[in-house]
Amino acid sequence: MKTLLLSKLYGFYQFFKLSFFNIWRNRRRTVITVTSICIGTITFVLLNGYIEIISQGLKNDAVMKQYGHMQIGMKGYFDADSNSYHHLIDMKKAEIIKNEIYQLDSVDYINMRLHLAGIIGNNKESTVFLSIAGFPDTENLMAPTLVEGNLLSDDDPYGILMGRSMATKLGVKSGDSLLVFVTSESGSQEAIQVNVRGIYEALMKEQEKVIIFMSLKAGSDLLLETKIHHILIFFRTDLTDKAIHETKQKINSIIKEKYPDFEVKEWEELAVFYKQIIGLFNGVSLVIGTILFIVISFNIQNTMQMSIIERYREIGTMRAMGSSRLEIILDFIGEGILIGIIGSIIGVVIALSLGELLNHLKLFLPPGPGQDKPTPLVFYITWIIVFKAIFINLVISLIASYFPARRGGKLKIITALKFV
Amino acid sequence: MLKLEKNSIKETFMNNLITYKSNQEKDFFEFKNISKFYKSGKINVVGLQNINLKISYGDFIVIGGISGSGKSTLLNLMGLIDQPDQGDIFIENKKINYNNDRLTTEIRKNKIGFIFQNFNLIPTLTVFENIEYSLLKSIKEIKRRHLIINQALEKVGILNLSKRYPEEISGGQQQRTSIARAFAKSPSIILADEPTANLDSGNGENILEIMKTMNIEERVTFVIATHDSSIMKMAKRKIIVSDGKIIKDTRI
Repeated sequence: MKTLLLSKLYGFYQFFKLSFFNIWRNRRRTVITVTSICIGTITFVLLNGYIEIISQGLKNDAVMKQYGHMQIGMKGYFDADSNSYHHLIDMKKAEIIKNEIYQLDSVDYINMRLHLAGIIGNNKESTVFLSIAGFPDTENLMAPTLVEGNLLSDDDPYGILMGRSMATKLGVKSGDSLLVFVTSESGSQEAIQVNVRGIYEALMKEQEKVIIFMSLKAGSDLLLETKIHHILIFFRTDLTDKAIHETKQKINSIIKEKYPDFEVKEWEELAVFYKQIIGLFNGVSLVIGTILFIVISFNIQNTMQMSIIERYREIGTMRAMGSSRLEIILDFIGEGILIGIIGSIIGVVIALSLGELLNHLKLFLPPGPGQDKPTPLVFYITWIIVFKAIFINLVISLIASYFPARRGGKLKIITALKFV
Repeated sequence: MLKLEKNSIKETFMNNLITYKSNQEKDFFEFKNISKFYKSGKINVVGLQNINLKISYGDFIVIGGISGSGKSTLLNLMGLIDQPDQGDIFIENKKINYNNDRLTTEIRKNKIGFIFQNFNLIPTLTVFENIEYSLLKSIKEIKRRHLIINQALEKVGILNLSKRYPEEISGGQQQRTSIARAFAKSPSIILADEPTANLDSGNGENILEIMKTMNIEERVTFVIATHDSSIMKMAKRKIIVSDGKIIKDTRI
């Protein structure tokens, strides 16, 4: 048994040694092919590393700042306009649901939100707004980055947070007073005086121009009712995927069984913008990756084709000595795969080093559409990306070398031996 | 008890001897009405025509004839690296089916050794590895395989060159490697196509001497295609081919 294993290992050693010497015979050609695989691998790994960090950032932003892990609303609310008064939840009912969900260990905190739309301004300027009203303590956990002033506070129920673009447009700074007008649930025009507690910045300029944050107290005063639109649930950050899945199932069954007028949505269903961006990035990655791997594939195929033509007589000799067609095919596929492995490993090592170096240099890309700040050029290269790159390269090497190898294996021995 | 064991050994030896003798009397190859044609443009050229031939174990056969007479074609057909257009080839009384690639590959691997005019060594492998490559699949045990390779190298007198690459040794030494490669797998027959054509006379003689010794000592069957008259002199059986036909077949 041990002898057989040793013999097998020795056979593998001989096989790879022969493959290595064979690919090293035409060094220039092999170096060119390995270089092309390297460049392809580096591009693929860095591109996906960049997409990974963007998608993680967007996911984190979507969950922690916008949607929570799950939301509960009246049936139909999630399909309607978020400011619609048709699907408001009575605060007492909302508190009952909140308390029940809060019993679950895996739930970290729960927020409730009311959405209002109206006009905000002073005696000089006014603009339309969309307001998010919540409890200051939980709303502050979701608050965007402040550039001026303070977050919402229970002690200052009429203090609001305003985007930098809106503040610039209205010509206000933190501490200034403004009037807010909305149409209440009963249809009357309501107004309250608020003060700017803080000015925030957001990734998207459009958000800064329109969205204001206020306390639920201020929102209820404008609505003339203590009601909310939806409940946002946040899980503990240390949960495993399995625990997250189980928590989601529990919440779904609670709502389904006890509150049939309500429905639950997961953040992925609500984050349309996130899904579009990720879809776009994945599309770009797929197109670039496909082009890269087609180029790599042609390169490997060409190299193997040339190698086989140069070694016709050798193939004839090996066949004459008793190598089967399959053994000849496997020999050449082995060489193709070896080229793929060498190119992949060098490519991955360079990509990891380059990614680390660029992260260290803290470079920036120009601001994206709707943004006014440059985007940091950061890469987060996961092992999944690395394995994906190596795996794709191996599959491509296998396919690209198979067809020339098959041609080599099919050669007539006498034709191969007479080839000069 | 000891007597019984001795008797048993004697019996086994006698059985082996009978099998060996009966093998010696058997034909290894038989060609029945073999013809081979080539296309030269639109014209069919006769390579071999109606060849009937039997080759026995332990023979030392030289096939002679001028260039283009058909001697290499005959050798290629014997080695199952080419197939006839007409007629049948039998190896150990079994008809060869050329559609069965696995079978012809197995026969080439286990029963036939080749010595080529251009040596045909794999340049990326050492002398030792060139021989080992042809044995990897048939002899799995490393120690035994290495022992056989060393014995073959010793037989052709290049054991000291085992770690050299083909480009680092002379033409004569390359041809010795080629002979060791063919011999190491203990084939029933070794086919050599112009084995001395690319060697100087001194090296050529040495190579022939090695082959002759192998034939006498190891009873290896040799079939050599050549137009070298010095090889002709060493043959036990001479076959002269002309225009694709055997015109002379003499046993000496």
